[in-house]
Amino acid sequence: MKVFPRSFDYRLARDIGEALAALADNPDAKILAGGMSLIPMMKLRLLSPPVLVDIGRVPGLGEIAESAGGYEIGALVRHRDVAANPGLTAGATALSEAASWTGDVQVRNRGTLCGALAHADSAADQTAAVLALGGTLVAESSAGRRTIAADEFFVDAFTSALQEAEILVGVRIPRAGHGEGSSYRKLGGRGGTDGFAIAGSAAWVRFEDSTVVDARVALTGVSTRPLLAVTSAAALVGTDGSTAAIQAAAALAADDITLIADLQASEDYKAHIARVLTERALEAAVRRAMDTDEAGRA
Amino acid sequence: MIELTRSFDISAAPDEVWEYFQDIPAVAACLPGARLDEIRDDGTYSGTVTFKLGPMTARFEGTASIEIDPTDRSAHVTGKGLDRSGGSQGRIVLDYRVAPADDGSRVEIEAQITILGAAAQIGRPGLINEMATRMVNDFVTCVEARLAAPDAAAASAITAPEVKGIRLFLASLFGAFGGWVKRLFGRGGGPA
Repeated sequence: MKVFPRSFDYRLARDIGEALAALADNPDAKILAGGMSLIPMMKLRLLSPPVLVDIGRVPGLGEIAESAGGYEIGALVRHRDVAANPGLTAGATALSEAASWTGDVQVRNRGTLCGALAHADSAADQTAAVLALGGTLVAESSAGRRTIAADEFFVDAFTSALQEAEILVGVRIPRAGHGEGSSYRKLGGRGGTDGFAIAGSAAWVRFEDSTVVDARVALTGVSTRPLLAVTSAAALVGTDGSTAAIQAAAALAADDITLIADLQASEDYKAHIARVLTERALEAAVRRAMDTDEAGRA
Repeated sequence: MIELTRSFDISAAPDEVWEYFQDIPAVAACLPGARLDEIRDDGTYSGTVTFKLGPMTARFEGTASIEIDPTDRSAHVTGKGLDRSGGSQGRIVLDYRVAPADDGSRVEIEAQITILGAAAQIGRPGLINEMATRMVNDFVTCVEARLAAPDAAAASAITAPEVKGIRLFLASLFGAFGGWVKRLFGRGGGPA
């Protein structure tokens, strides 16, 4: 088994237009940002793109921009920056927690949030967080920009809704307002939080006075793509978010979802882990929600 | 090693389904991603089966042999293939049986699949299970359509869809349509 890539051409794009033109010229070309998913796949020869288009020097993609509406995270923002950003840590906790547990230190230093989202690994962490937070993906092609809601973006295993010759240039996350909180809980490959998720649960809740008026739970690692645990979230809405209410809602985390077993876990175990992680994520999200002030700050 | 157990119903009589399964070129035509190249003198079959998972493609070239038991309408299939570009190997041992059922036939399958090499890293059993389910569904649809076709010419025109997940197909359809609508109504449009 060879563990180095096949020969490929390399193009450094100076701006998005050049990158898009390179994709248009070479339908099998792949975009290189952090390369933390792409390069290992190329080394294993699971993927042999004839051309790599490096967007690492394209200006304007490395920002986490904060506005009244929320956060816009550019294509070159690394996982470690998402994890460390104070705005995201307070106002999009599920995302910063997911970023802090992605892969390992090297992956977090080089890998990008948008790269992970476009790669759409069925056991990725941030995909669940973006889904639970109701994020929007921003894609650019030669025809311009379009936005794709998170619940339409993760189509299948390793398959996003990005079209050919389209680049994911950013992701928008709504800002948590008063009474909102989110969290992510994960069971990683060796029982801790490293590596891919055997299962992960991202939860988001919104309170008005003392009642949960809205909630989302997103599971990763249990299917071919991240899934909203609709039944579980719905069970929490209208409750007071107490421990009992959370337990009752979390017990439904595996309902109406087709779970897929893998080497690490049977379907039953996946269902059990999904329920346990959902309970913990909801508990943390509710605590966060109760702590946020008018500006969405803890 | 991944073990798969599947059963599916086909709305045709067991003898019809059994006969169909002996027509290996016809079976290959309904198996998504499969291409039969040669039926060798020793009775073994050579061909390729192509799997796609997102941007990754694995094309296994290899051989298969089949032992049949017509009294039972059952067969034992062994196959192995090599993906030259990735260096992955796949092996399959599959037993199937065609039994009578209320609306026609019930086909029962037991398979053991072993994947070695790079594909094993990414081919998590859960995903392979899922891909197998999709292949079986496409296979059944194709076989039923063929068996229900008015004549041989019509039947042979029916083949399995190209290897892609159902959702991917729908999403790309939706995406393309959405893009067209936006352009029609003047949204989007970027640098020339």
